[in-house]
Amino acid sequence: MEDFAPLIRQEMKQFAELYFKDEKLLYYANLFMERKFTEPMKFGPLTVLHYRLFGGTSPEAAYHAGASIELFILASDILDDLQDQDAPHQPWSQAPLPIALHLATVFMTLSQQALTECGLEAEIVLPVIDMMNKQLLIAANGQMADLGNLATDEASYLSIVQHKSAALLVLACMTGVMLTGREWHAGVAEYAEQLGIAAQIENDRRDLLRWDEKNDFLQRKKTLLTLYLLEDLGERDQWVADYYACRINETEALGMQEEFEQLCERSGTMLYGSAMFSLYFNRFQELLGNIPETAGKIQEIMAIVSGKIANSGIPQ
Amino acid sequence: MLKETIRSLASNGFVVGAQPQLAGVSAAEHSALQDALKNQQEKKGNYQLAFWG
Repeated sequence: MEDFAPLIRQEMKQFAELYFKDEKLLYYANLFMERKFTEPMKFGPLTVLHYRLFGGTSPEAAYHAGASIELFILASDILDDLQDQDAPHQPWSQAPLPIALHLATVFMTLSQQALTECGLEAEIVLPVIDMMNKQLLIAANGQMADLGNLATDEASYLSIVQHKSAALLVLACMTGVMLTGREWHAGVAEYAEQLGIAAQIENDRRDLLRWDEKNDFLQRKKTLLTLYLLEDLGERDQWVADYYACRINETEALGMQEEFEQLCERSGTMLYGSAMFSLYFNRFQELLGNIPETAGKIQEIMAIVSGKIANSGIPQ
Repeated sequence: MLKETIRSLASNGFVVGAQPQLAGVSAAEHSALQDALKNQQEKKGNYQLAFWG
């Protein structure tokens, strides 16, 4: 299966070299990009794949678009980590804050520029830019709600996810589709949204099992799984509610790892997460199969989202 | 409702032999629950579904 990531990375670095004339700006840009390149690349490759699946033939358009999406995702990741303050080991968390913020803003601008230089006619590119901005504004609203930890129940949490992380997956897939000259494809939007929600649920499951600064319980985050847990606590488990209400401090909570893991198991929290993941993932597969251009392409898409590309040579 | 079904299963110690209470559970939710119970039984990689790697 073809790995789109190497050429996307190449484009990202070339755009940075072309436009970042300040030595320090280029240094930090390369530092942050190289760190990002150690992770499996998903959004940009989904853009390239969808461009090809829907009949796109220009390599320049495909990989400029892929680079555009990845530059935005990098900017978004930087800002997310700075906002949540839960990624101390990332280079952008270690760099001076003004510099990290500045790099995030210039990556966003570079993202737009990469798309405008994709070599296609304005009649095709302008609607894509319009769609991109609208999706980013949807995601911005979701991110704001997430920052406020505003979820109160399953429905409100899923609404936040729909507007935050799922909107970015829709953006990645739809950019590829619309660069072929097509209009917004409702079917692609629908399955991309289901995939995005499934991905976020999987992230939530992972972030409940790890016992570090990214654990959602330790961060007192309201996620699908922590909300499930909080809704029906037995008497002996009230310490969880006490922690969320700040009646127990972080140091005390840190010592409760074993109790917390056992609670997640016996309460059905992890099973609930697994079932909800399957619910959205199964729906994604069903919708994918309903579209002629994507039916039968589940393996290609899964190879990208699972971060497993054969012979990629990139640490996974 | 899926949540209530899972809480019921949890309170019964996840006895897999018994059919989960299906009242209010849609066909899609039932299928998803069966997938999840299967994964739990097989204990795939500490619940990492190797999905969003």
